[in-house]
Amino acid sequence: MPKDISEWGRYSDPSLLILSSLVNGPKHGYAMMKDILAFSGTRLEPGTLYAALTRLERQEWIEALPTQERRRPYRITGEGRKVLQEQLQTMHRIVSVGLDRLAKA
Amino acid sequence: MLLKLILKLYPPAWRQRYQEEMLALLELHPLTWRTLLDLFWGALDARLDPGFNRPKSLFPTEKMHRLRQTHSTIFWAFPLLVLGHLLFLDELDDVFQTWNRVHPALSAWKTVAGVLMAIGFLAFLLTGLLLACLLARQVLQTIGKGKRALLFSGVAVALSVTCLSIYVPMAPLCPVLLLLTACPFALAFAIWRYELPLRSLRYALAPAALVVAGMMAQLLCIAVWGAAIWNVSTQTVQQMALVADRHLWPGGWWHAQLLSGLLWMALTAGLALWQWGRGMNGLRRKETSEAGPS
Repeated sequence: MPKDISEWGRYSDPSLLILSSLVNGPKHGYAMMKDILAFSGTRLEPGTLYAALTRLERQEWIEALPTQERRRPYRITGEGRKVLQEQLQTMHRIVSVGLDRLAKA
Repeated sequence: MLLKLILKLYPPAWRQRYQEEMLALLELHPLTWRTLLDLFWGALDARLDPGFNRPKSLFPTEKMHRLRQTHSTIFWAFPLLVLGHLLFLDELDDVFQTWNRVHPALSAWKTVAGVLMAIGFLAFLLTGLLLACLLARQVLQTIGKGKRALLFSGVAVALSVTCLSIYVPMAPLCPVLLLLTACPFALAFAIWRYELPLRSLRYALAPAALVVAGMMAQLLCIAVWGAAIWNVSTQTVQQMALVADRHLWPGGWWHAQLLSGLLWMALTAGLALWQWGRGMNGLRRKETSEAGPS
């Protein structure tokens, strides 16, 4: 599996959303879906959520915590924070350049 | 129920790790067509993921289920192979009797394959009797709730014994043939439906190997024999059929008859071999606890 999150095809955006959702504390699957819907307007479906979670967990960018009433919370790791920061900075650069060029056009 | 069924599409290793939490999530999430499609897509993604398809470990129940599938498949595939031979190749075999005799190498080849098939058949009867007796004992221990199991295993034991009687010349033969055909299917159903001790199923894999080897030998024999007689002209075959007083497929389609028989046998023998391999593969794997990963 590629180390670069942008090469994960249809799971790259959901993975970024999940990492962003976990930055402010551990969450289980349903809480992540609600949080992502609230801050991005994206309605993640369970199949996509778990496909992305699998990839993130395998890269050790998130880790599973002990199960609580059948639900398993996940938290972001230090490596996961670093990856998220790099990705967001790249996106930020794209947004800045794009907006700048739009303003000048 | 539907959700559990859909989650069965995911590979076992994935289910072992994520099924419980996914089910807890799905209980809160409204189920729409979009969700269902997304789950199908997720299952396909997990199936294609080599990380979930490595031979890692099996739950004891999965191992048991796999072994039951193996034995059950062998018990319906073997009679179907014989049936395929009778339907497509028996007459053709009779037609080529004289031709076979003229070619001693081919005749010897057929004898070897016949001996292997006979060993396979004996192993089939032995395994059948063993498993049928175990099923009957199991049922006797839980007689209150196992009336149907009693019926099936009882029938299986009776029919297995009847199968042995074909080695004793007796008339009329028709009921025996009928029972011979019915017996393995009843047993296959009983093995598939009811639990047996894991250890017994494991030991039964050894004679089952002989059964599968017999089936493969028969298939190989027919394939080689078929290749050897392939170039015989249709006219000659029709003449031989007249002399032997046997009826082949109309219009001189004996090649199609041969190929159909081969295909039928390849399907049944291939399925039995594949299932036997799955059973063996399951045995080699490490067992994990039923509690699941923490």
